[in-house]
Amino acid sequence: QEVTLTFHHFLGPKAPAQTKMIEPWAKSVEEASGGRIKVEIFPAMSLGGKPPELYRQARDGVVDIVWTVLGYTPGVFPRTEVFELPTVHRGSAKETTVAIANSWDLIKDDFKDVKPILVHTHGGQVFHMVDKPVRTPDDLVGMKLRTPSRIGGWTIEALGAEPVGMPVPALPQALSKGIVAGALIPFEIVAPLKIQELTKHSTEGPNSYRFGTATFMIGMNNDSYESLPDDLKKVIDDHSMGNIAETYGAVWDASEEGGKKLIRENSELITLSDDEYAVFEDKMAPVVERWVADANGNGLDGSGMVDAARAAVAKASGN
Amino acid sequence: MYSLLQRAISFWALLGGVLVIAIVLVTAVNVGALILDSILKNFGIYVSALPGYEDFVRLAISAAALSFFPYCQMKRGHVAVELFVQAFPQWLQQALDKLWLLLTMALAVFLAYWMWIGMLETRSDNTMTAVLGWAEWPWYLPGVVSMALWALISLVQAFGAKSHG
Amino acid sequence: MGEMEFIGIAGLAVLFFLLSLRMPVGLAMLLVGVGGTYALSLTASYVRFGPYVKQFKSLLWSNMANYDLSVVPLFVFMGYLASQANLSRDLFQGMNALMGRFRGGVAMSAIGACAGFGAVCGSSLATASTMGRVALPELRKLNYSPRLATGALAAGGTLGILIPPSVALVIYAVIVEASIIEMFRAAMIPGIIAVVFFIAVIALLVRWKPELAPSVSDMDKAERRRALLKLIPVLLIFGSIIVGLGIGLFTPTPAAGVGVFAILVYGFAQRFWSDEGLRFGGVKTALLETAVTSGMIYFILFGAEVLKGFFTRAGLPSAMATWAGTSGLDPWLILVLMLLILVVLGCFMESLAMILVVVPFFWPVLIDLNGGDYATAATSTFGMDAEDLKIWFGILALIVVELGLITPPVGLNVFIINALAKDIPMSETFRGVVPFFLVEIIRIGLIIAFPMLVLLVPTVLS
Ligand code: NA
Ligand code: NA
Repeated sequence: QEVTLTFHHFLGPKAPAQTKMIEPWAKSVEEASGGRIKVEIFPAMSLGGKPPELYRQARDGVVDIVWTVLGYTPGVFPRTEVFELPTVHRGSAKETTVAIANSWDLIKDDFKDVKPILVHTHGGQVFHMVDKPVRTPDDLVGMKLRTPSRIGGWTIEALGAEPVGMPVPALPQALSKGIVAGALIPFEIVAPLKIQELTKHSTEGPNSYRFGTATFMIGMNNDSYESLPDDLKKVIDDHSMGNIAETYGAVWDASEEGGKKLIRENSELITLSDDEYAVFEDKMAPVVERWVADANGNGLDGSGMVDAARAAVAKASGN
Repeated sequence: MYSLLQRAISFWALLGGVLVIAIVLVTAVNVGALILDSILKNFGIYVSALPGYEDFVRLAISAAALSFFPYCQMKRGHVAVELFVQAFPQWLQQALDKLWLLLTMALAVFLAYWMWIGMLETRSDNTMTAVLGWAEWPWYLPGVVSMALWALISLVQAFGAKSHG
Repeated sequence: MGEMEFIGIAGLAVLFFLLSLRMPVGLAMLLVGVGGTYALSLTASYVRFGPYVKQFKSLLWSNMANYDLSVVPLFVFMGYLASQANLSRDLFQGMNALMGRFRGGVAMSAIGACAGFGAVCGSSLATASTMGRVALPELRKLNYSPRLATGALAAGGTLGILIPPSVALVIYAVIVEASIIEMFRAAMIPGIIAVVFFIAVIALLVRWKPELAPSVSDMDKAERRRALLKLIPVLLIFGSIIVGLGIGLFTPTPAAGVGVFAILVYGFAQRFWSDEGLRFGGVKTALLETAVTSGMIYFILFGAEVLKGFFTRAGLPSAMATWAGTSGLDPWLILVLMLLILVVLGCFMESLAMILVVVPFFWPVLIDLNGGDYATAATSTFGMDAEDLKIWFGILALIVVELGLITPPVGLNVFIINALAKDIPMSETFRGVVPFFLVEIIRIGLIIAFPMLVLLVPTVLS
C-alpha cells in the first residue's frame, strides 16, 4: 500500500450512506488498485468541523475526500441547484444522478476547486404530515412545514405554506408537538427518525414523482488526485461520475423502500393521480421561475439550464 | 490607554449581550405567533411565525459568543486548574502566568488572521443561510474584531496591568 | 500499539502536564490539538499540516454559529438575570417560610432554593454563588455551624447542573447526538432523589447533633405571608420553564428565550408596585456575568473540537474501543472503572472539559460493549438499547462529574462558597461536604442498579 486517502463525512458509521455507498466504493477502489490505495473512513465529523465545512476541507486538503450535502452551503453551487428543482427532478435518484453525470458541462464550473467523484441526489422530497392529508395545494395553505433547503423553502412558499428551517434531529420533537404541521423529507430518513409514528399521511406524486430533491457530492482534493501516479489516477477515474452514477444512484432509490414500507404499514401513503399532481406542478412553476431569475442574476442562462437539465433527466429515464 | 481598552472590551461584550437580548425578543415574538396561530387556525386565520428563526439565532449567537472572549479574558475568566502551582515560588507562578498570556495572545492573533482569510473566502464563495438567504461573510467580521481585542488584552495583561477582578 | 496511537497518548500526557501548570484549559486543549497534529504529520504522510491549519478559516466561526449550543448562553443569562431580579432571594425566603420553623429547616430551605434555582440556571457554579450569597448570611445569623452551612450550600450548588436545564447535559447531548430534551427529562427523577437525600442528610445530622443548627427561622407571621406571596410568581416562572421543557411544549432554545423574557417582564413590572425589581443596571451586570461564563464555556468547547480532531487522527478512541472489547473484562466492571476515572479526574479537572475530553473516548467503548448501535434491550449487555444507554450513561457521568465540584483538592463549588465566608477555613467546608458526598455515592449505586430511575420519565413522556 502506498497511498492512504482520508474520507470524511457527517453521518454515523451505521448510516446507509456509509454502509451502502461509501464503504462499497472504498472497497472497490482498494481492490482495483491492487491494495496500493487504502481509504480510511472517518464518519460523524470525527476529524473536526461542522458539516457545512466539509466542502472547504476537501478544497483545502484538510482531508482527501468528503461526502457532503451541497445545500449546506447555499450559494456555492449555483448551477448544480438546477437538479434540485421540482419538475426537474422527477422521482428517481438513479435517473437524476445519471443525468447529472451526462450533462456535466452544464454544471462543471461549480466544481473547479475539487475533483468530483460523484454528484448525486436522494430519491426526492415527500410531504409527511402530522394530521392533514394532502391531495391538493389548498390543503397546505397556512401550514408550517420544515424545509430541507433553499429550494425546498421556495417550494413550500409557492404552495401557500410557510417554511420553517430546523436541524433534522429536532424534527421528531417539532412534529410531535405540532410546532410544524409537516415536513418535506424523503422516505429514506423515515426509519431513523420514526416519522411513521409521528405523521398520519404522506404524499408523493404518480410514478413516485417528488417535490424536488437534494444534491450531494463526493469530492476529492485536487492535489491529492494530481499527486497520484497515472495508474492510480485511472483507478479513481474508473470510480467516478458516469462510471458509478447508475450504481450509487440506485442505492439511494433502494433506500427509499424501507421508509415507504413503514409509512404504508403505520400511516397513510397518498399517491396523487396524474391530474392531481399536475395541479401541484402548476403551483410549483414559480419556483422554477424564481430560480431562473436568481441564476440570470448570477450571469447564468437560467432557463437554458432548466431545459437542458429536464432533457437530461428525461433521457436518463428512457422517455 | 488601558482604561480605554477596558471600556472598549466591556462595550463590545455588551454589544454581544444586545444580540442575546435580540434573540430573546425574537423568540418571544416567534413563540407568541405560534401560540396565536394554534388558537386562530381553528377559525381559518393563519398567523405567520418568523421564518428563518434558526438562521437568525445561529448568526447572532456566533457574533455574541465571540464578543465574550476578550471580556472573559479581561476578568481572568478562562478557567485554569489550581493544583500544584500555588505551592510554587511567586516568581515562577508569575513567569508561568506571563507565558500563558503571551501564548493566548499568539493564539488570538493566529485566529484573527485565519478568520479574516475565512471571511474573504466566504464572501467570494457567496455562502448564505438556507431560509433567510442572508450572506454569511459579514458575520465573520465581529469575530475578527473579538480576536483582535482578545490579543490586545492578553498582551496588556502579560505586561503587568493590574486586571484581576 | 502503533506510532500514531503513541503520539496520541503522549499528547494526552502533555495535556495533563500543561493543565497542572495552570495553563487555561481551552488554550491547553488547542495547543495539544494543533501540536499533536503536527507531530502526526511527521509520521503519516496523509496527515498534512499545511492544509490542516487552513481549516481555522472557518472552524472557530462554525463552532460558534451552532443553533443547538445557543441555549448555553441563554440558560446562563437566565440564571444571572433571575439573581439580579432578586428571584433567588424570593425563592429562598419563600422556602424558608415553609420549612424554616423546623430544626435545620433553614439549611433545608437553602437546598430547596438551590434546586428551584437550578430550574432556571444551567450552571452549577452560578447556582452555588447565587444561593450562597442569599442563604449564607441567614444561616450564619442563626448560628448554624459553619461546617453544615457551607457544606450544604456547596452540595446544594451541584443541583444547578443536574436539575434541568443544564449546560453540561446540553454539551453531553451534542457530543453523543442525543436529544437535549430527553436528557433533561432523564435528569428529573435523579434530581428529585438528590434533593430528598440532601434534605434527609440535614435532618439526620441535626437530630444527631442539635448544636449544628441551634436556632430556627425568626420570621414573624407577616414576613412569612409576604415571603409566601412572593414565592408564587417565582414558582410560576420557574415551573413553567421546567414543565414546558419537560412535556416538550418548547424546544430548548425557545424555552430559554421565553424564560428570559418572562423574567425580564416580571422583573421590570415589579417596579410598578414596589421599589424592588429589575433595573437596567441589573440587566447589564447579568449580561457581563454571562459574558464571562459563556466566554469560558465556548473557549473550552472550541479547544475540545480541535483536540478531538487530533485524537481521532491518532486513532485513540477506536484503539480504546478495541482494547476494551478484547480485554475480557466484565462490561459492568469497565463501566464502574470509567466512572472511577471520572471521579479521579474530577478531583482536579474542570467539569465541562472533562465531559468534552473523556466522553468521546468512553462512548464508543460502551456502545461496543453493549452490542453495537442496533442492540435491542433483550440482546444487549446492559439491558437497554443504544438510545437508552446514551441517556443512562449521560446522567451517571453527569452526577460523577458534578461530584468533582465538591471533592478536594479542587472543588470549585467549595471554593466559591468559601470565598463568601472568608473566616471559615476551606477544610471545614470540605468536611461539611462529606455526608452529602456519601449519599451521592448511594444515589449513583441506585441509578446503576435501577436504570429505570433515569429512563422512566423519558419513556413515559415520549
Ligand atoms: Na439547572
Ligand atoms: Na474536585
